[in-house]
Amino acid sequence: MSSKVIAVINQKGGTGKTTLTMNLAAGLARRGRALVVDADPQGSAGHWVRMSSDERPFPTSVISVAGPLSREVERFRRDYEYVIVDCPPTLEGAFAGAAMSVADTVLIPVLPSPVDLWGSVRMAKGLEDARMRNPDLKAFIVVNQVEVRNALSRAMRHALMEIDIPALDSSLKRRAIYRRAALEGCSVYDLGKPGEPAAAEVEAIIQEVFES
Amino acid sequence: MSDIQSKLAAGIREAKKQQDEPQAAKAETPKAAAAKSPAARAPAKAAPARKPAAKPAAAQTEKATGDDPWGNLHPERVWPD
Repeated sequence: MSSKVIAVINQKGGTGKTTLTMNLAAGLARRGRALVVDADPQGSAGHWVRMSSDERPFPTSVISVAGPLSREVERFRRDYEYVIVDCPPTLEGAFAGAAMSVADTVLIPVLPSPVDLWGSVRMAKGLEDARMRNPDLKAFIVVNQVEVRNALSRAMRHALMEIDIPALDSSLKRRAIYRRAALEGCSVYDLGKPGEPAAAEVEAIIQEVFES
Repeated sequence: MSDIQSKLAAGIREAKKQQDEPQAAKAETPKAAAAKSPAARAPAKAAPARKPAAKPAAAQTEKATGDDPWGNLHPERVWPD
């Protein structure tokens, strides 16, 4: 089975790692067997899935691993087509490094704010180190919470060219529906018509990363 | 380029510079240390060890234990009549 491991990572908290992880997982689960690995000690992905109802269970399992992450993830490759790892908000410690050493693709959600943007410079260095162990690692910035009428959001696209990580053309807009999905333990795919624009954003990311 | 764009880009360049500078400093440190003679480094070794800060009297009197309840009384304690 050709399996893809996607690590969603940023050393800064609150950038939307879990939101991206869970909605991406829901989108990928429509294409093949998918699993979410909750590598964040805060356990946000686990919390998210526990909010789901029996009538509408989250489309993937979410597990946390106790053993070495890289070893465990390699095992999951046998059984899942997509393994999405929700990483902790730090580059220190074992998890982030292990996730980047075993992943095929790293997605880095970045908010359209100066502090988040400047913090991404550290991510570039972390990736450089990871590529010494995993030379084929692909990495993309995903701009999250874009506000189309906000000048800063518009300026981000240009400023991102200064960072040595390519940014996806697709992005996630700032939408309340993403928060509602977390509250209901589901994905934006499950929220009917109000969720459609957000689901289209997630689809665009999947297509750009995996299908183009 | 808009003002916001140029400020964001300048911030990124500054962050890169800050990230690279400590690494450059680390890389230079061993060479600089090796260039110094043992005599030049000696004063640093001979620097007097910092004395531990004296604990306040109140803290010392808190050491009384069940084994020796009278052992750590304050020396200037005034006994009641």
